[in-house]
Parts: sequence; C-alpha cells; structure tokens
Amino acid sequence: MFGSTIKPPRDIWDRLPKKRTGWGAVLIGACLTAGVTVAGLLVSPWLPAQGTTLLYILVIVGGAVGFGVVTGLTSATLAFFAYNFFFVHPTFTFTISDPRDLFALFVFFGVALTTGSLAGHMRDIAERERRHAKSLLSLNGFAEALSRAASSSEVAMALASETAKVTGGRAVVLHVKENALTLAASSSAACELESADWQAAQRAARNFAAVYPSVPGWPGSTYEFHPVVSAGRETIALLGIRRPQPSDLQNDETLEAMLRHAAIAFEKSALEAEKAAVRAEAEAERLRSALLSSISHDLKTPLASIHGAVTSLRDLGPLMPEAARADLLLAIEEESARLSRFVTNLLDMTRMEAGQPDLLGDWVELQDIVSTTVARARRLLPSSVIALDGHATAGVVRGDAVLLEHVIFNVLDNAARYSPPEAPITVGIKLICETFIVTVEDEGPGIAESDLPRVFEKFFRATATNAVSGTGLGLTICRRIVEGMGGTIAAESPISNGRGTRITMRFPKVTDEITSPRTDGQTA
Amino acid sequence: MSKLPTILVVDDEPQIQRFLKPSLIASGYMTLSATTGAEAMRAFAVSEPDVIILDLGLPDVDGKAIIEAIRQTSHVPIIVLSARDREGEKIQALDLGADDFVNKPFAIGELLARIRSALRRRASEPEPKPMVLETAGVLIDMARHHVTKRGVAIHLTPKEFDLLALLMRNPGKVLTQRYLLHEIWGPANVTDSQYLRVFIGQLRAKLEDNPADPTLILTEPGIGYRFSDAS
Repeated sequence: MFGSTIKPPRDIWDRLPKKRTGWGAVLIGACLTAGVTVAGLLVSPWLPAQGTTLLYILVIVGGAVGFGVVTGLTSATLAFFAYNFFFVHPTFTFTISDPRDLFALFVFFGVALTTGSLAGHMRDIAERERRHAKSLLSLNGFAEALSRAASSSEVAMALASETAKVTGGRAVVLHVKENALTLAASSSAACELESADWQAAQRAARNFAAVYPSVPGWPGSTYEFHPVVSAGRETIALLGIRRPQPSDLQNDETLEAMLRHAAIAFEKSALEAEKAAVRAEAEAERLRSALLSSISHDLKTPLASIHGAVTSLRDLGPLMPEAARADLLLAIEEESARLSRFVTNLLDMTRMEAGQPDLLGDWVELQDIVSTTVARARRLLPSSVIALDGHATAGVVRGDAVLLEHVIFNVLDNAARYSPPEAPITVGIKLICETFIVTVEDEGPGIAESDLPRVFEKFFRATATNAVSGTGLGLTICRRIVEGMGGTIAAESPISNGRGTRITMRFPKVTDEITSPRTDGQTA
Repeated sequence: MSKLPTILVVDDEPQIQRFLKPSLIASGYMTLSATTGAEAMRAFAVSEPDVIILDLGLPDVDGKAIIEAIRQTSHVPIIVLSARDREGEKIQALDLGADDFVNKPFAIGELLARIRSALRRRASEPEPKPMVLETAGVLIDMARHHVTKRGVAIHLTPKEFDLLALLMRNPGKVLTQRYLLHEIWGPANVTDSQYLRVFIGQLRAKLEDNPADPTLILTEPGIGYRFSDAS
C-alpha cells in the first residue's frame, strides 16, 4: 500500500535546527538582531548607512528559515527599531530628521516583515512535507510488521513495539473484551501502568474516544489511550502511548492510519484463529469418525464370526464331521481372544490419553519378558511361525513388565497380521553398548516408503493392506509406552529383497542396580 | 437332486469363511471361496455358482463393482453381507442388481433361509411370468386384475394392484424404495417415498390380518420392502 521507495527529501531543509515557538523564538530573534547591530556598527565606517539594512534582511531570512516565523517576525520588528536607533540620523535617538529616511525606514520594515514571514512559511511547508514523507515511511514499516503477525498477541506485540519506534516513547496495547481490559503487549519489558492509567484506559474504552494525559505535574495518567475500532464499530483494543514530551502530534494522520492498520490486523488475526479452530475441529471430527469406523469394524468382525460359528454349531452341529466342530470351537476361542485384545488396546489408549501411568516404577528382566511374550504369541497366533533369536543377555531395564509384554505382543501381532501365515517372524534381542535392542522382523510385503514415517501415528493403517483389521492404535500405544520407559521404537522396510519389515526397540540397560525400587529395607 | 447347488462365498475375512464353509457343506451345498474381487470373478467365470454370497468390503475392489460385472452376463442370485448401519451401501448394491442382503453379524439360519429363497426364485425364473400367484392365502390374478384373500375378493385401486403384483412376483426378495417407486410411479418420482408408505399402509390394511403386525409385506428399515415367501 505504501511504496517502499519513499524517502524523505535530502536537502537543506532536512538539516535545519528544530523549529522554535514562544519565548525561545523571540529570544533567538533578539540575539540575532543584536548580533547584526553590533556587526553593523563595526563595519559602519566602510559601509553606507543603507547598506546595513541588507545585513538585517539577511539575518531575518536566515532566522525565519532556521527557527521559524516567530523568530523571523521578532528579528524584523527589532531590526526596525535598532536600525532607527543606531544608524538613522540623528543616531542614538528614535527621532528622524529627514523625511526621506522615514520613508526608507518604513519600506525596510515592510520588506523585513514580508521576507521574515515568507521564509518562515516556506520552512513550515518544507517541514510538513518532510514529516509526511517520514510518517509514510514509518507507516510502511508499521504495516509490514503488523502483516507479519499471525496471532492476535503477535499483532499486539508488533503494534506496541512499532508505535514506540514511531513516537520515540513507550507504548502498551490493551485487549478489550466485554469491557474488561487486559495488558496484551508492552514496548518495554516491565509493565508500568498505574491505577490512574487503567482508569484513563477504561474511559477511552467506554467512550470510544481517545483520552489524553492530564497536564504534566498533575496527578493522572501519563499515557494517552486510543481505541482500535473494528469495522463493526467495536473497540478491539486500546493503544496506550507515553510520548517522551508533550507534542503537537496528538491528532496526526499517522496515528489515525496506524490505528486503522492495527484494527485490520486484529480482525485478520481473529479470522485466522477462527479458521484454525474450524480446521482443528474438522480434524478432530475426522479422527473421531476414523476411530469409530475402525473400532466398529474391528469389533464387528470377531463378533460376526463368533455369532456365525455358534449358530452353525447349534443348528448344524450334528450334521458336521467332528473335525469341523472342533475347528469352529477353536475359531470361537481365537476370536474371543482377538476381541479381548482390541478392547484391551482401546482401554490402554484411553488410559494413556487420560494420563501417563508410572512407566518407570519397576525393574524388568527384558530377556525374560521377550521369551514369555514369544511363548504367548505362539499360543495365541497359532498360524504364525515365530523364531526367537536371542543370546543370553542378562540385565534389567526400567519399566513396567505388563506394559512391556503388551508392547512386544502388539508388535508381534502386527507382524503376524501383515505377513503371510507361513512366512516366519524373527524376534531378536541383543545388548550393545549398554542398550538392549529388541527386533521383530517379518517377511511380509513391507511398508511403503511414504507410509514409513507414519506407522506410529494414531489410527494409521498401511494403505496397501487395508484388508487387515486393527484399530491402528497398536503401534501408537507401543510408542507411548516405549518412550515412557526412556526407549525408542522405529520401523524399517524393506529389509531384504524388497520385502519385510523390521521394528527395532531400544531400551537403556540399568547399570546401577543398587537403587532398584524393588529392594526394600533389607539392603542397607 | 442331481447336482448339489454350488455357493460362492466372497469374503476377505478368513474367520467368516471358516464357519461358513462347514455350515454350508452340512446344509447340503458345495462351496467355493474367494477372498478378493479378482478371485471372485475367476471363480464365477470358471464354476458358474448357483448363489454368490458377497461381502462388500474387499481388499482389492469395491464389492459393488463385482455385482455390476456379474450382472452383465448372469442373473445368479447375489446375497450381500453388510454391516447393519450401512444402509446406503446396501441400497446401492440392491439397485445394482444384488438380490438380497444379510446384516452382519448374522445367525447361520438366517443366511440359509435367504439362500433357499434365492434358489427357489432362481428355479422358477426361466418360466414366463405366471398369471396367477398365491402366497399365504393371498391370490392374485394378473390377467383379471383380481385379488382374493382366503377366497374373499379384495378391492384394490389400480396402483395398489400394481404394487402388490410387483411385490408378489418377487417373493422373499427385498425391493428397494427407489425400485418400487420407479416401477409403479415412474422415473420422475423415485424420491417421493411418502407415496410408497401410504400405499403400503393401504395394502396392509386390506390384506394383513393385523396391519400393525404385518406378516405379508415386511419392512426392511431404511431400505425397502419384502413380500413374505412363506408358501
């Protein structure tokens, strides 16, 4: 909106001293006139009396340009009297003998006044131009800083710091919500708002109008407060400014534009927040429905096969050969176990979500857990071939035995489900550099490279094998538990000939067993 | 019976296949099983089964695509297995030409009854449309537009008669609301299910012993209606 090429004009006007008003300006005018008078007296032997008027004009123009119109006019008036007194015959009196001198004197006065005020006005115009360009430049930076801010608090921070930069003072931003004010940002680290300031802010918020500080020295707020008003005529925030000295910039256009920018930025951030909330809500909804359909499928399939097998046995049992009846009974047993595992997984997940259980409360012989779990898996997953490739690796890890078994079983169950029944699954346990490494390898189709980073995510199920049932929660739970025990879990695929998946879990070995929580008072 | 009817079971869940196979054999059928859409199409082409039991959730293709493919060449009865809460899927399957559906989980007796009903319909299929049908004491004479119940003449409006005739020509088969509306009221009215509810109500009032507890015209909630095939 503002061209970034705008630069304040770099010319003589830019290097001028500060504009003076009031008694200061008069004093400077007097000094300048006195100086010229002395100089005029010094050079008068070599200069005609009228020549001194040119010196006066020079100083009047210079004073007006340098210090403003008041200095110019003061110098002009004083020069009129000084010239009369010192240089017009008879000198050292205000009387004038020659009428021509009188005429010349009034012409001089007219010229002096005109040049003084003209030069002063030129100076004012130039200064206004310069200020305008400067404010455009600062607005430009201000708008840029605000547009970079995404959240409402970032907008508040940018507003406070940019305002402080532009005004050279301090700035605070207060959020207004249902008539309650909260400090959102401050340009200086410490919040120095006092009760008088808060009262002034309240007044500004209530009246939808700027509130200015009381007269310096009197009790009251040292801040001026400007409401930031939305397009819907609502006060969103208050911008508080403490200027270094009382200035005449109180109503300036720059501030107006800044407040407008701030309102737009606040509204934009509110919209962004709303959009993000909607997105988050949609995402949560998507997860919920994914979970629901996943759970319903996983619970229904075993239920359907149990129901079907039971009714088959009841209605047709006598017509079936003995082997078929036995297989149906086994199917019922296996499916009930599967159902129970799903429910356990779901409950575990809920527990994990509710709060981290004490995962480091115990010492566990890892080798022991691995072999027990493999034995259990062989029993519960009879169609899988599971090999245990473990060396004697004594040592304990810090963790929870039941949950560890749960993790290893889940990983094994996954391997069994995602690979053909006859393909062997290999469980390995090693101790390298004080770290236990437990691996579970299968010879299934493996995991697509794009899916690999997501296998531990909630509800994730490999896309290529969507026929396999599972809540997609198993590995998520595993990661939570393993990480809770100070370990890591990772997936690699393929591992050989473009097939197979390897899940690697690492647990730190406990080296100092004296502090085992299992040891009670007996070991001193 | 010269040859045992062959039933093709298409389901990717081994546990479902595991109890269906011995049960179907024990009930006097031959079985074939397929766990993917491709296997199903191969088995269908090679062995011409008498009934196909199809789970709609297959790993490789949508079960509905299988129904479409089979219907291009064959009228073999297709019984769809689907979850109770997936009405939309069932309606689509029926509209594509599936004959019936069974909600999972199901008791084996329910599935066997549907298989028997489908086989009966298939047996009577090649004949020209019969002019007189009778089910549970209700007799409909297509040519004379005449209906009697246990010998007593029942007066029906033309639309009521058309609806009843359509239902009775498909005993035991679920007919979707959309199909019934299309056949009786034409393609412009396929979404006006209130017509159908009103006429079904009128038919029940005239034909059922207790219209509040119908035994002839059965409702399949959310899907359509089925005329009893208890003959």
